[in-house]
Amino acid sequence: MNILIVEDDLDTREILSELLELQGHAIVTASEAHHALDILRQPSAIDLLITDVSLPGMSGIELAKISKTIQPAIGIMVCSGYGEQHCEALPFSVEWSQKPLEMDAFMAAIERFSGTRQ
Amino acid sequence: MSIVADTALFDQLRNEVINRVMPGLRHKMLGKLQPITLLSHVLSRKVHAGSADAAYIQTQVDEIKLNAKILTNATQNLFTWVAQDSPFQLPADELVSECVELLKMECYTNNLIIANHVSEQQMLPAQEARVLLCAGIILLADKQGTEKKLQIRAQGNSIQFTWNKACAGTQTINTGLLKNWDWVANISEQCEIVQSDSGVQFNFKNVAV
Repeated sequence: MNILIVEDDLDTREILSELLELQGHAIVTASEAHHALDILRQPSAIDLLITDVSLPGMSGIELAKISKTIQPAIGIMVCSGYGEQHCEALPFSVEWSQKPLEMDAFMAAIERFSGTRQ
Repeated sequence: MSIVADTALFDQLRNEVINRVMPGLRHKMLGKLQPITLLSHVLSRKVHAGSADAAYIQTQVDEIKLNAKILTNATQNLFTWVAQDSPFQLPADELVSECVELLKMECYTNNLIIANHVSEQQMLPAQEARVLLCAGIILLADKQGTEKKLQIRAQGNSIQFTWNKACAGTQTINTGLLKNWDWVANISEQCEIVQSDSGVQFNFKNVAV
């Protein structure tokens, strides 16, 4: 899968990227939402957006909404230490992962997404 | 040395500020914790796959130890917010940076643009200064209006907030102490807070400069 990771913490972003590359996925990263939107507007399709909720400049929830208008087929996974209620207002379903990530559940969710794309 | 004249009033202000910075504190804590979880998971996968040599394992273990140390420091810092008996002193530049970073997540929705010009400082304000500075930023962030701009500078024993007109006028959306600057006159003893139409200056007395 082509996965876009949006995470403002450098360490988390880099290690998450390494982990998903180990699983055979192609990863692009952004540290904030506006950069992520620039990536999404490029011609190559992103299969899955993994985003934090708390981001500088624009929240991950807002990013998720706009992402769907740019690439309607994109899958979205929201990761945050905040409660899941942030996602309830979204007009589409997203995968929710509580931070700190429980790795087995997180990787299982990635595999589920991957399965639906094949 | 405490800079607080009215302890009860300061406690009320501190509680209101903590309510606002808690999401930011939680975000920071998780940011320090998450790399440890991820590094451990990557290391485990590589060891099981037989693709991790001794040098790689040592590098990852060093990374985990470093992140654990950072997490420990972040945890201790968290306690200085919530426990009165956890004294600390930070140089003014680190103090201001922490306040700005913590509130940035909250402020962006309120159209406050913060320019922090405070570079390396020897000034060591008392720990209560963190609450006063955060309260000031929250108050400005919660003013109604757009194009609100705040510049933060430090000189000598002072930290200065300078703002544009959009920050000066309208009421904030808050109730309680963070509604306006009324708390200023009664709250500080060793910190003189001087207000004008274009800003506010926190003059810390008896601090190491």
